[in-house]
Amino acid sequence: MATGVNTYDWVNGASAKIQNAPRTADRRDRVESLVGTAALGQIPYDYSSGTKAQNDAYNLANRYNQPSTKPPVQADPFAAYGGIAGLTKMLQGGGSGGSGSKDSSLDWAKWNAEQAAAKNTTDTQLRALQGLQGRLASGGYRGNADTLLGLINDQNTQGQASIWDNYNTGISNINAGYDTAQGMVNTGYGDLNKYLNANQSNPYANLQQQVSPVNNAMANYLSAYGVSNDPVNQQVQASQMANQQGADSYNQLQQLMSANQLANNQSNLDVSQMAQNYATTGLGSQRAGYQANADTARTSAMNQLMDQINTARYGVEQGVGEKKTALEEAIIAAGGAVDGSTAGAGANAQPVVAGSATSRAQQVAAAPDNYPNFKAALADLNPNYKFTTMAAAKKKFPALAGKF
Amino acid sequence: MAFNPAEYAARLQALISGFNTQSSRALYDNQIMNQTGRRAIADANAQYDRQAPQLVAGYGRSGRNTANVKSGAFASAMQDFAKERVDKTGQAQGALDTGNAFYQGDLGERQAQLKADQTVLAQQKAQQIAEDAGQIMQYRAGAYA
Repeated sequence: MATGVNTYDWVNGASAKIQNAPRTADRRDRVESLVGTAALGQIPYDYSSGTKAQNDAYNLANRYNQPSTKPPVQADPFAAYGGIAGLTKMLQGGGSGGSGSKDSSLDWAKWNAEQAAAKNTTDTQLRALQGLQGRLASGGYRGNADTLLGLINDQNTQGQASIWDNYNTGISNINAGYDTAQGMVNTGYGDLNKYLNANQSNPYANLQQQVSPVNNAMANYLSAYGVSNDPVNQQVQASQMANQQGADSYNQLQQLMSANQLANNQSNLDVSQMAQNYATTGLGSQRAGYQANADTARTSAMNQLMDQINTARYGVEQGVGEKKTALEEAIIAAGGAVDGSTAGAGANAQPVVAGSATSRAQQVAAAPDNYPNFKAALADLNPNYKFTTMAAAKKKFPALAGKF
Repeated sequence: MAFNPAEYAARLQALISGFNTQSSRALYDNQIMNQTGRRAIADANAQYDRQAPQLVAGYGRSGRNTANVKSGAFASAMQDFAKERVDKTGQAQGALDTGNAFYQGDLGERQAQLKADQTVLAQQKAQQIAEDAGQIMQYRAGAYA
């Protein structure tokens, strides 16, 4: 619950007494701290609920009600003249100067505020640098690149499997088609061969002209009248011979045609077997061509896939490289080195050594990711530190505190 | 064009029907030829049978063929007559035999042609099946064809 500044009794309550009002610069700081803390909705430290030791520790940590301290003594360049006052006096014609004036609390507060501001700025820049160096050393700049590369590898694996599946299916179909086609060819030409073997008959085989005998129908008639048949019989032989010659010519022609038919039959068988071999060879060539096409398609698909995968990988790695370069440039611009040190060392950095300042910076930078709160991080990273108050711890370890 | 069994059967049937038609017509023609040829020979023999007595009678009336006279002219005329009959009927019979032989030869020729046509048809069938087989294989190859 936010507590307004007016609720404190030393402001408006029964304990509002003059002796409770702020009297020193420290008290004023305390008041300003309380007012500012309350304005931010935070609960300020309550002295009334703390023990003396706790209150002293709080005061010590916040430099409240502490003995006045002097800024670091620096060599006075005008010491020989008695300080700046002596120099002034000398210049004004006077003698040597006296000692310096006593520090006022206001000057101290101003100096302290300037130092704190400068320190805060420096700490912030250092934390930022350490964060960048930690990010570089841990490879955090890669972001989701490894996840993307994993997805790309998965795509590569799946793509190759798909290509092989398509190829194997295609080859299987080609072989099945070949088997089917070969079976059809064997059946078709097998039937033809059966037909040809079953029809080897020769229509001209038994063709032969029959020669009817020529008779002398008047032989008895001539004999009855005492006429000789010899001349007539000669005519019978001549006519018989003439008919026989015609028949012989015909029969010779038939024998020639018969021989041609037998040759034709054998030729048909040979042609059929040759055609079957030709068809089978053609199917084999056809299958080889299809298989070559499948091989070519698979190779092309593989090459295309590899191009895609390589392009994708290149894009991811290029992005990572650009991020790394930008990170290194940012580290160098911030006065750091890519090896984790605060001295510029260029891009050729040495690896981070465990326990080194760089390693420590990385641990601090990664603390928000590894610890739930500042106190847990403090206990783990600084086991020898004896915790008193949160303010003291934050003051002791500002870089770590700044992460929470 | 894929193999069509119905078309193949129709073409085969057309070949057989053509052969049967031509063979029937040739057989009929051959029978007519035989009938005509045999009748011509029979008519010629009948005519020679009728003319022979007339020839003998003619030589008898002229006294060159009697019971006591057998002239050389009569004998020569009778022999020439018989030789002519042998020659004419022999030629006619020879022509008939030749006609029958050519009928048988023509039948054999048609049978050979029928077998050749059937063989060509069977070869076309096998060839078409082989082409169809290649087409089916191409279909199976799909994009790899």
